[in-house]
Amino acid sequence: MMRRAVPAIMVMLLATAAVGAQQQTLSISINVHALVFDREAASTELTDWAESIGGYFTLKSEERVVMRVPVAAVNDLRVLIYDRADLVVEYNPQAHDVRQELSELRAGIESREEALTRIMGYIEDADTASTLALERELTAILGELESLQGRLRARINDTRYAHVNIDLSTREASIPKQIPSSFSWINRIDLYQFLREVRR
Amino acid sequence: MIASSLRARAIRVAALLFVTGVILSGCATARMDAPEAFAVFDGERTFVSTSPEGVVLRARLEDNNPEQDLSFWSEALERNLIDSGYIAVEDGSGSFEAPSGDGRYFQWLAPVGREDWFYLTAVTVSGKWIVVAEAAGPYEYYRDHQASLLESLTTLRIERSL
Repeated sequence: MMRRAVPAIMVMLLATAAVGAQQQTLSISINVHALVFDREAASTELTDWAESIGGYFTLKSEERVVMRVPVAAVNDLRVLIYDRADLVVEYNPQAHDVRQELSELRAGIESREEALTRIMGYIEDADTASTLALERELTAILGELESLQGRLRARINDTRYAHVNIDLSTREASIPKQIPSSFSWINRIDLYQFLREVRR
Repeated sequence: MIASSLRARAIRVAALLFVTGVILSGCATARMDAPEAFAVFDGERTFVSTSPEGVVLRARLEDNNPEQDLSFWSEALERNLIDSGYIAVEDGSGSFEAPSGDGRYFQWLAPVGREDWFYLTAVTVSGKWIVVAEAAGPYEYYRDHQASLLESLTTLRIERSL
């Protein structure tokens, strides 16, 4: 399922890119669970890589990394994770079309800007009582406008940067148990016996 | 009388050869050049060296009995360690040439306490001897010395002293 999802998302990304950067409407999110030998080193490597390609991280710990990666680098991220991880338990990319939400946000901003323009026009000719009421209305509309503009910026950011959540675990370490060999010298090849002997 | 004299002489020669052989084989030692920054502890039949962080390297001799070649012994070693549960490092094996002969090395990962350790095993075959080299160290320290450890394998040799 993951193998089909990745090419499908890449096709959608290519199609979206062809329309033009200002019209990107896919919000990409990727959930990863990887087994690594050194979680601290892996965490640092991932965040350093994200920053090197114009992304950034919002959470960095030994257990988890949350970062935003330019959409164009999503495939490079996949290559990096599969190359560095000892085992990728889960790689789950998802894409969400935010076109409808962007359209609604832009429409809401436009209507409130129009309302602001009208109110500013009314204030010039209003008496004191009306002015106070109009100012209250103005304040409310400005608040709504800022909220909508903030949401629009966030959604546009979501279409430019993939949201990546990476959970890091260490490989389960099981102590090797020497299997008897028919050859005596091979039975003496054992890490733990080696360490006991050289430390004497 | 002449026959008994000749027999006695043959026995003495054989005994002399036997003792000489014992002396020569008993004084053979595995040696190698220590990696940079490693301290060396020379043993009678083994070579041991240690880095400041505790990465250890040892070379020793084993009898090539039953007498087989490098291909046989390297495959037997690799199979045994895999079956024992050692994790082979990806792209961590290779071949090398040393004064003691052509060799094969394998690198493994295994836990020591709560740490991951690298474990290097290498063999060359020289006549009646198998030269075995082993090295081990914590993941990050072994990585620091990995290149010089592998380089040291190319200096594996057998030294004899009388």
